[in-house]
Amino acid sequence: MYLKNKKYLWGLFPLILLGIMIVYFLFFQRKAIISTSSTSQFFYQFNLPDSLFAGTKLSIKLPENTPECQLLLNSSWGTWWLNITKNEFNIPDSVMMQSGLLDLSLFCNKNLITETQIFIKPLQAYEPLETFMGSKSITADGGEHWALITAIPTDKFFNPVNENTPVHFGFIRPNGTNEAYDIPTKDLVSYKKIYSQQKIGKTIVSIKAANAAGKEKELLEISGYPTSFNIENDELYLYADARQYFKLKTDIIKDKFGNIVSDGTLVSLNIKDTDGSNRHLNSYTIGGIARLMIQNPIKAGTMKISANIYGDVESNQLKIQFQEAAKDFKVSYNKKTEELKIGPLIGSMGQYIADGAKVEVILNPRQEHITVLANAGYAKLNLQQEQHPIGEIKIRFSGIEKNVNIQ
Amino acid sequence: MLQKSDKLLLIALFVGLVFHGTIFFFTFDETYDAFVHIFFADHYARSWFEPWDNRWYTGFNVTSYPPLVHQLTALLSFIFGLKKGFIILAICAMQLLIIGAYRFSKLWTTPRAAGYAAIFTCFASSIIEALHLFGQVPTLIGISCLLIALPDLYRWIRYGKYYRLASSLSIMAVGVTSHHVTTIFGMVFFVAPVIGLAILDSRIEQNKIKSQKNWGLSLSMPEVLKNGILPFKITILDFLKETWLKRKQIILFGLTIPIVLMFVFPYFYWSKTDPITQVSIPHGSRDSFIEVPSSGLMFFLLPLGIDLLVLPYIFLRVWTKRNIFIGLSFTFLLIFGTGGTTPIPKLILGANAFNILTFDRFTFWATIIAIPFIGEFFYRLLEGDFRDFLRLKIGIWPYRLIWGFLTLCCITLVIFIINLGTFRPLQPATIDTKPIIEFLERDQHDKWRFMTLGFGDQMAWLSAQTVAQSVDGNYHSARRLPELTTRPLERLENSKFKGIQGLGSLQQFLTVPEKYHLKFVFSNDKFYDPILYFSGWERVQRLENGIMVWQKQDISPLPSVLPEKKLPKFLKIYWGIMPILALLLAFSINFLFVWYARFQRRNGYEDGYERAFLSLPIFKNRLFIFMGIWIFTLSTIFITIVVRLVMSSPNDSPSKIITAYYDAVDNKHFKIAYEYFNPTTRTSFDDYFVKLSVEDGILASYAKLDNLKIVENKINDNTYKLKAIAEWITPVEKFYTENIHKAVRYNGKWYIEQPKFDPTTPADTFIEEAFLSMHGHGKRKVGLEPTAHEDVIDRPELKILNARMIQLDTTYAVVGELQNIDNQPAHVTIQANLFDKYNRRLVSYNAKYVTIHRILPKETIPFRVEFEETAWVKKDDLDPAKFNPKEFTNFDFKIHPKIFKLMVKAVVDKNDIYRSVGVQGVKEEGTKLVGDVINYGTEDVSIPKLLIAFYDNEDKVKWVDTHFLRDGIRQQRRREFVIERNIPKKYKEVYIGTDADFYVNGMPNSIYQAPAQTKLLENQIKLKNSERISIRVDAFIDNPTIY
Repeated sequence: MYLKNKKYLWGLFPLILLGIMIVYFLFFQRKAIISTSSTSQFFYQFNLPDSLFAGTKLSIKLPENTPECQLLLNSSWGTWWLNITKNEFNIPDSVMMQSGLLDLSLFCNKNLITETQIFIKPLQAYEPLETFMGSKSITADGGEHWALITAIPTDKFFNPVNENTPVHFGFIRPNGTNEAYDIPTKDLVSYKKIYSQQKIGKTIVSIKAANAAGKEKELLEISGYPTSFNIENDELYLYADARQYFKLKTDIIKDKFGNIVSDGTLVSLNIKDTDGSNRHLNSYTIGGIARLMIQNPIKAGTMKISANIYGDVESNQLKIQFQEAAKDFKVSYNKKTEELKIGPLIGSMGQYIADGAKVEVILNPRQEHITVLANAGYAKLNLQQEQHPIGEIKIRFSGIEKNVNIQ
Repeated sequence: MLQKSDKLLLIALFVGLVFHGTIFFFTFDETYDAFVHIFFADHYARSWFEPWDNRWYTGFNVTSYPPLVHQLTALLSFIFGLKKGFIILAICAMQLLIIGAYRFSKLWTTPRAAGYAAIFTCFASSIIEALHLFGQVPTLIGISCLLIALPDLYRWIRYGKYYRLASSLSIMAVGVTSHHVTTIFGMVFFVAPVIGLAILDSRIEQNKIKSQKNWGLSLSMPEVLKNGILPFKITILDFLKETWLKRKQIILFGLTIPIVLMFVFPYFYWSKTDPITQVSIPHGSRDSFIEVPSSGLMFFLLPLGIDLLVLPYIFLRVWTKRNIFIGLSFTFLLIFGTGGTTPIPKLILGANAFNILTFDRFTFWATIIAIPFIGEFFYRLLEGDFRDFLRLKIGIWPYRLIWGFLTLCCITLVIFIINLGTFRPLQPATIDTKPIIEFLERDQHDKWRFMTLGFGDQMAWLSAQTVAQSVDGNYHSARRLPELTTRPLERLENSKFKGIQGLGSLQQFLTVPEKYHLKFVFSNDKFYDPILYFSGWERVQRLENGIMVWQKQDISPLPSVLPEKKLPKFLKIYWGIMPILALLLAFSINFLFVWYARFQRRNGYEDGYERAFLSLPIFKNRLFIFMGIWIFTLSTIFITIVVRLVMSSPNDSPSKIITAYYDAVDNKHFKIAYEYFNPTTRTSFDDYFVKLSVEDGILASYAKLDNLKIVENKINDNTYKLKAIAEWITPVEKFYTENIHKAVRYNGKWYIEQPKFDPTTPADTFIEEAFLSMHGHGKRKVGLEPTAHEDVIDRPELKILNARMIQLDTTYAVVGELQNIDNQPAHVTIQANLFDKYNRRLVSYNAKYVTIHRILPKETIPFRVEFEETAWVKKDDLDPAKFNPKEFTNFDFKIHPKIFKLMVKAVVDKNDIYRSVGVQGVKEEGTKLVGDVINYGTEDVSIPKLLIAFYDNEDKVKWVDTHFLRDGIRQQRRREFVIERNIPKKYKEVYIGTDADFYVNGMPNSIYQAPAQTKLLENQIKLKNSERISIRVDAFIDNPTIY
């Protein structure tokens, strides 16, 4: 029943194919079979060509009545002893794949009979071409930095191709120009230095040797060191309330060839505050511009802002004049509850000062500093908790100082 | 035919099976040791004959623990899986133990009482603790085998039939392969008393025969033993004579014991050949139980449990002539069990042995010895003479109350111990290990070592499921790394509980992770986040199970060939087959041989042993009165303690309320903390909680209260002002806070005033900020190929601007500054090597906290590298009670370093580059520098760290310091800081480095070109003492928006 279905015969097809291939390799493959003449005093001379291509099959046939013989092979990969089989030496394929000099010495009855040398030549460059780009990114500084593109063309047995095999390098640079070079291999490799130009971007590299091409390679040219820049402020509220923020931004920071510096470049800000204290703030660039928010100072006066990047990169100095944010305030004291009430704390336009504004109270007898935070326009302090201080109390708020006497 | 008593055994076995079999399913994953044994079992399941395991401690030998339980679990795991295999084995162990206890009891008491003892075994608190709390299955099997073997040993000594010797030895061999320590100590505490008993019994029997001859008395064994009164005296001389007669048995047994121990020969080989000496780990059982009541509860009171109430009876029973040896043993064990409470164990054992042994095992053995007598007590109470006596004297209902009370005590204890894990969690909640396993298997992540933090003993379960290696481990006897062996540290995993040694050790691993190819940390505990962040680690992802994966950049993968300590092949095979062989041998001798002999009607093993029908000594009224007083006193003490604990209120006094408040805040019990606030002035709880919830910072989120000192200041009768000086431990630093609290009396109770929160409101309703976002995905296709040449980005170029070596008293440090001159943000690893004048390298170490590890293009970062000693050399440093994570062991310089080399390397990194924090209002106040840290960006900063660099006149760094702020900073908010403006007093420059000493990415520093800063920088603050400093902020963001 099974046999009736002849479809299974298709299964034999691969077997037939395999048979054909075996027959082909046995009888039609190029073989260097060298017959030798026999002598009674065993004498033998190799009759081999000076050079062969890598991968050639080679077997050496000896005359019928040869005594016990061995063949010594010496190649760059090592040494082999071959024993004779049916008057024939079959040189292993692995030996024949290796380019370079191959020494053959024939020993019979432990005597050296003859020796010769064959040069095994590499084939043509084979795909894919092995290429390497070293420094994948360089600074576009007009030729100071360079990267190296290297190719090692090999044949299909991984032998380096012949010296002086031309390798073609093609570049498209960030500024749109095309460059092409044919560089012959020397000491196995072919290489080209790519010098930086002045524009940032990608350089796409193509490499070709004979018919073998390599992968697309790329080199990134990146912007160089920043140069001096300007800063400016925006959205300013001109009262020193220690609360509102204003915006500060740099103009587009560029390198000396006009390329915008990379995102993330850190800009440090150095601010001399209105009360003489220091501020250190940072920001980083995005699209060459660094932005940040700066809080208004606590005291009226001039604020001086400058920005810099380590390496002598500086900005202009910005001076901003701030006005007083608060007006005079009242202080009252309730003897019963022993509560000190400071306020109402009124802003520049008559509004309550924002919650959380700091009022400094100095209890005179002990010179104890207490910070009271304003809440809904008033700052309150229970003196009972402070162990009933008697005497002068100093109150500071927004640069205004007041003294109160408590009995 | 079953005897009456054997029926009780069957009941005990049945109860044991149902009770423990059901409960162990739910308790085993919270026990301390279960997962460790499962890990070992997994090792045998993977490679039975290869004792080397690379997964823990960079490789260790499993011959360091007797293998039987692990190998049996491994065998069972092929059918049931690891966890279930282990559970089945544990249930079998319990069955064995019940049989063992029954057989052991019959040596000392009547069979019926032994039956009671078997039932009691199911509920003995020490056994429940060992199984359901500690998961010590090997110990249980070890003790069961010993108990089962003892009656056979008794018969060997008495009658000298070789079969009994073989039988007892074969069972002991199984015990040895399961837990050799039990067998070795058992020789003293169990075997020796039983040999003594056998000799005594022989003598008694002979005297009996003799007296029959002489006086024609016909005495049976019970009569002989009645009331412990013998109609003849047994002197020490008699005993010695009898011992001489039994010399053959004793010597033969003594000679065969080493053979039995040889079943675990590779273990002894390991302990002899392993040259690593370990610092012993502090164990609660060595504490004085009066000073540390929690240890006393855990290691003494709980295991003893009901034994405590019956203690007088046990003592009366063991201190009789026949039981004198077990009495000695019991007393010794009980004294040893008290650990450091009395000086006796230390005097007997010597300080060395005292510091190695754990003493809870002695208590455990004492309770095992007590089992027969407790069984006997209950037998007499429930159906014996005590019952009759009590019913007669005090009536039926009082009698029922008494036994009801005792049974209730027993049951309560059992329930309490089994649920202890729920009352006070011993382990973190169960972690789903699957996502971690998947992570480790993905992208060849197992080519690096990993570490877990806050997993508890579940890290062993994680290890059991993967081939990935950990630097840590959960079996401290096999610790190998010097960072671990030199410290009393079980595992890095729970280092936060181990004080300075723990965190110090962890910090070393995290600072120099390349030493052990440590790349991944799985963190289940937020506590460790700051330590990871500030030593240069970064978050990769949060897994589905909530575990955060941290990684360190730029760590080389593990080499394909790892060092291994090879054992001789013979030992490997020996180790693989001997335990199972011991089990088979015991089975053949005790079952197959007996069956065979019965079929063949051979009786070579019969020895004419009569089960001694012991009668129980009658007690006088005095005993009952004493017992009554004893039980009453103990119960009263216990109840008083409980009631006082429950009734005591923190509102009693001002300092109590402050202590209670700090305690509540420390434990994050905010509802309780709120209850302490003055009810007349406090806001609603929700209001308090909302305000609290936005507070972040190292103190609010990552600290543990270590010490609290309160200074009282009376204002009037109803008002106190209290200064609370608190010491907090955080993973990076020790913090001191000083707060003033006001306590007021209201309705006779003390309350404190609610703290005020910052009322500051931000200036802007909505803020926006441009954020740099990056992604590096290489160029390869999705697949299994490893990283290709094109996938790797060039290392960012850095320039070391300057660096110098300085000496501070006896320690050295390298300080300096470097710049990222590249166009991408970089993650930097800064390593400094010190050399002496002969150019020999002395030490190398990485920068830890005193730098910023992520550096933006063109940014400059100062750094300081300190040199720590790996080994914990000084003996006086061993005290783990002191805790200061900032403290470290300085490298002990034998020769002065003269020069240094700085090796800096970098990789492109995209994480943790928040820079919208800065300082403002910085000015001098006295010797301090004060100012505000301001957050003007869009992320909530959890822990701000200041990096303060001091410069010389040429703008070169001469000193770098750090300061952690205690509070977090929300967006558009400020926090005040106060720092010292001076450099350390004993500061001395040793050597100023030149370009020749600096290497970046393996290349000389000089090849990197960058414009120099020629003018003095204006970013520096010029101080009055002519110092020039700069302040940078490194902000740790716990919950970044992008994750």
